[in-house]
Amino acid sequence: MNRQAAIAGRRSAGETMQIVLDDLASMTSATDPEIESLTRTFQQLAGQSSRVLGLASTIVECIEDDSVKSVLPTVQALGSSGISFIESRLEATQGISETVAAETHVLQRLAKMTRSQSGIALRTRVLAMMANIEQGRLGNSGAAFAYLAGELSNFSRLLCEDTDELEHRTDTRRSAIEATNRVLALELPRLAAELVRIRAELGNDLALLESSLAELGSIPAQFKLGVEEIAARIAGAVAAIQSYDITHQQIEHVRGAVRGIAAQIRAGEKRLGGSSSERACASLGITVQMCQLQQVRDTVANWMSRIKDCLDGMLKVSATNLAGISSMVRAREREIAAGLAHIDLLERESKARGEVICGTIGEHSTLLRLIDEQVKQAAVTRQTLHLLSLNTIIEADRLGAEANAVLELGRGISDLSLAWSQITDQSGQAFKEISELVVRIGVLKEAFSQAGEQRLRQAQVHVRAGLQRLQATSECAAKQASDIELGLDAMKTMAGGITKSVDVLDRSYRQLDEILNHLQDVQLQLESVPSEAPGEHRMEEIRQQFSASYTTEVEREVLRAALGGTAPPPMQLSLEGNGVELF
Amino acid sequence: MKRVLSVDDSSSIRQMVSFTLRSAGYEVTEAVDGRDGLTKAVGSRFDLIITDLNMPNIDGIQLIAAVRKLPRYTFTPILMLTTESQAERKDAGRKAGATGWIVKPFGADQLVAVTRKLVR
Repeated sequence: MNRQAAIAGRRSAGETMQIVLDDLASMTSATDPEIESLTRTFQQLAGQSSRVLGLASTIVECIEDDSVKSVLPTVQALGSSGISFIESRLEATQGISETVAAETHVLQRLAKMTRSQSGIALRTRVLAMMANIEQGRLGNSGAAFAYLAGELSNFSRLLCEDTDELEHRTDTRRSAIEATNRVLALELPRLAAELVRIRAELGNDLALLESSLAELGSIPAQFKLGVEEIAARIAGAVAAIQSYDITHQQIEHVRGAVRGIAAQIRAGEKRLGGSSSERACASLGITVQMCQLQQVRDTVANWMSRIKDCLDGMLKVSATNLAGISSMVRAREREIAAGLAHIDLLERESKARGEVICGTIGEHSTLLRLIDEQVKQAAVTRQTLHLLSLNTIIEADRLGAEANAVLELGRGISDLSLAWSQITDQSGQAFKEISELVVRIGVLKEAFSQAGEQRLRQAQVHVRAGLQRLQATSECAAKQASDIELGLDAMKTMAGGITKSVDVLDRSYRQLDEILNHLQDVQLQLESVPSEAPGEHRMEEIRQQFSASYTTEVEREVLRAALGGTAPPPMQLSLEGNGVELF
Repeated sequence: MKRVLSVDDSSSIRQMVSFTLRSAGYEVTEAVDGRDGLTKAVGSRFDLIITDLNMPNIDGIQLIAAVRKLPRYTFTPILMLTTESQAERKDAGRKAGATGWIVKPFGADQLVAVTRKLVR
């Protein structure tokens, strides 16, 4: 059985029109209180959102404070101080390694020279013995020579003692320094490796700190975006809620029109269906109302969806931009504190290693004193040898024909004097080299000194002051966190209430589908009896009859389209709200 | 604090006008129709009146004409907030003494901006 037959068997057009009126009334009575409730809850939600934004803005104000913004430059200054500190120690370590190696070579040369001096001392003993023998041979004629022989004998004895002593001390010092250098040979590469590790870790720490601070610094901009987004969502909801009023008016106008059409149909039914023209006009009127209701249905779906979007957007922005602020601030502050503590540890490790090195190379200054003594003593011995040589030659001259052995002695002393002189010059050169190396070590030690640490400490003091300010910001964030959380929970509850209202509205407006079906049924009943389409004059009457009650442009456009048989006006997708026209 | 009178037979419109302008720092009084609006205007003093056009008892045009007759409202800005956009309706509003015209739904930012402009 087709729909037409089914309808014909059920109820009259008039009865169906009454059902339409009743459904429209029940839909309105269901939606009006629901929109009231939705509007009230929305205002509470907006107020709560404003409160939560206020709490979050307190945290943002702390972050935007100049004293917190200045933490990043102090961290960067610490970074460059720290890196420079480590670099200078690395350089010094390398320098000490090279210097100590050079020193070892010089010491080895010195030891050789000392041994040579011992050799010369022994030869003077031999010369002294020869002098004594010659003195015995010369007898009374060599009385003056006896004095010289005595001098040579004393001198050679003393020289042997001194050179033995010096050789012993030099060997002892050399062994000690070589032992020190062996320690340094192990420690210095270790220190260098440690410093390289510390530099790498310092670099990583600083990169993390800068990143954390940059993230912290981005919070105000993110918050501002969040505030703007929420404001836009609220404005969207305000416009969407107003749209209910517009569709409410449209529905009221349709109710009025349907009442009129229903009265005409009932009047016609009493006269056995009414005239063909009356049925045609009623059918056309129903078409107009159906078009209006279709437009209402689409508009309602649009603004209800808009309200849901606005709610979802507000909650999403609040959850990400607002709820996250407090935990982000606290997490960044903890990262920064941990990073700085690690830097402190690295600095202490570097200092401990440096102290080992400084203690070890401290002994080098005693070496210089030893060599200085040696050189001075060698100079005195040179002079004495030279004098002895001279005196021997003078005595030989005095002795005349008996002087051959004495001359030979004199030549021997002269040779020794020359050899000693060369060694003395070499010692002087070695002394100069060692002096330069010791001075260089002194300069390199400066890298491990208090002065180098002082600059780093100053940078650390500035950063710690900044960290305190960050900690205050973190405490502020912690205080607001639970209130923000409670506020967001309240917003979620209110949003849930609004969503429920929207669902109720949605179900209520679904009655529109049934109402449209009823109207279509009535049209089919009316059109079951063939009739003429209304003339132009009648169309104009219908247009004026309906448009008289219209208060919106969209209703007039729908009317024009329905009467003209053209497509209905496109639905207004944007509910941004209109501006003000000032006269 | 500057005071605004919002006149509309639709509760949701009154609430949205109140919400928008209170958030911007204005004190808002609501009236449920033209008669209620006129009574409140006579009994108090407002810096701005925002009124609907189609209302029972006294409509918006009649309200504006009546309010303009009150000496203290000679220069008070009055905005019409309505679904109507036809030129002849706007003209009637302007002749009655309306300062401006807003077609519903209003934009919240725009309403606040024009209120700040009109009420100093």
